[in-house]
Amino acid sequence: MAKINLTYEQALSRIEEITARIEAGELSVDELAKHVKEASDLLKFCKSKLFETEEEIDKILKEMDEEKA
Amino acid sequence: MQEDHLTLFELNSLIKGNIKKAFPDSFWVVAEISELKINYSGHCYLELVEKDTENQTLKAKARATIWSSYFRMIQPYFETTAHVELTAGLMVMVKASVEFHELYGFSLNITDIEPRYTLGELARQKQEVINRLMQEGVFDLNKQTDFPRLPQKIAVISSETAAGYGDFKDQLLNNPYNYVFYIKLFPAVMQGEDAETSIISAMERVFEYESFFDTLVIIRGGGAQSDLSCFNNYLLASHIAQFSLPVLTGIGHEQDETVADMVAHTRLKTPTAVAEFLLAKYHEEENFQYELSSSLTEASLSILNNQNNRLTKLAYAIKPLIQSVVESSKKRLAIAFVMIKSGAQKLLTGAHNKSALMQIKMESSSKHFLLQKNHIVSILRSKLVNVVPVYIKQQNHALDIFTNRNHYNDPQNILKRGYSITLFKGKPVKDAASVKKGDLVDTVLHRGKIQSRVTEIEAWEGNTHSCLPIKSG
Repeated sequence: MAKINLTYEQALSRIEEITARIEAGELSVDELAKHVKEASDLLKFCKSKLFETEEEIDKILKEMDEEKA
Repeated sequence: MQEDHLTLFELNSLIKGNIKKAFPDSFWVVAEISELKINYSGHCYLELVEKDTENQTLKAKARATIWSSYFRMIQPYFETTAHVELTAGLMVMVKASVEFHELYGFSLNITDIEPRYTLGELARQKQEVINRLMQEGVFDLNKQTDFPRLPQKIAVISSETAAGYGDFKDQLLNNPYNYVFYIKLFPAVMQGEDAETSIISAMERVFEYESFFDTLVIIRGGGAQSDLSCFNNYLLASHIAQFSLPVLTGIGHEQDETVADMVAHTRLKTPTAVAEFLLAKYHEEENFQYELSSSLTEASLSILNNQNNRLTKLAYAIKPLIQSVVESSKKRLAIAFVMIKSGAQKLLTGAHNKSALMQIKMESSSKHFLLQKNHIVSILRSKLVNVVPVYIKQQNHALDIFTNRNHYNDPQNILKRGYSITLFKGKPVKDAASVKKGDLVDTVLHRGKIQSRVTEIEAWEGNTHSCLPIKSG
């Protein structure tokens, strides 16, 4: 999965946008695969936000403790 | 030196007696508790004050005492009714008698407190705080902040040792769904006089990491109902209302909301309820993601199905077309094949026949020819055998005749008989038209030759006249 530089909510709205475009029949079959791939990557990303610990965030929290000490 | 004098004790005794006379009954007095101490034997010593409503300066002050025998009854009744700890800062209505003690001086002896007054006074004060926040336009500010869909990074203001915080943390970090939360505690004193300033300074520390956190949770586990007064204070409420992160409160009380609760983004009753609220957000997101995923799948599948149907339809439409094209091509091919075959056969048999015929013809004709020629040759030979002598005889005979006839035909013999030959330019003239007037003609006679000039021509049609009159010039 490519690195996604979106916030959780940006990712969700992108998925919604893609879904809406698919539902509206705006996408040709050729474009469909590409967009579905993007949306499912974003879905994975969103799911990871629920279930996977991000080391970066833990690091920042540790730094906060050190500053205080 | 004055003879008449009193000792201090005598004076104080006098004052005491007069005061007792002047204030024989108890009074209901309204005042603010500015100090409150309970000593080892259960007696309660207070300082009551009255402030100027305008500038808050002291207008009056008095010491007061609640003897332990009263205090044991008054305190629980007050606190359960007013929902507030009997403590400094409260407005109270007390039943007091005026006392004067020779040694301790003036004080009020409190025998009762009316909790409903305090209740009403607190409500009034609370309302004042609310009104003020509304007037300042900050009351709804925190409610207007966007609560993140996924509150992952949570700043907590609580007392580190409070059971409420421990439960909260445990509930989130060991949740059965394996959701990931990031919790950072900013410790503060959550009850008593120092609570307000301690909480505000913790909020200021959270604010330094404002962009990092998703939400601020202010929780206070258990503790006495009466400890809540600071959450109705203007300053704390104002800070919460204007905080840039959405604030969740779980201050742990079942009664009326505090002003802090009212201005917070979302008020939950207990720390546990805050944890449940956060977990519910994750649940919502998980469901939402699931729905998004299924609607994405559905939408994609429906497009694929449509396309598939389209293809199937096209295939159905094309199949007979292709079949007919194939059929007609096949037919054409078959016809062509048959035609080519028969043509070729015809050609072959034709050629074959022709060649055979020719062979036969050639054979027969050459045989025939040979036979014929042979026959002719043999006939000719036999004929020749027969004919040649006859022919010779005949020829001889003819020759004889010819010799005789020639005698008559000889021009000399004819000329001898008087005929002459007219020659023009060396050629005999047989037609008068072949000469013109003035031409020189030669006439050959039996003996000699005459030259004459034509003077007159009389042409005859045909050759009925045997005589040609010629006039000699």
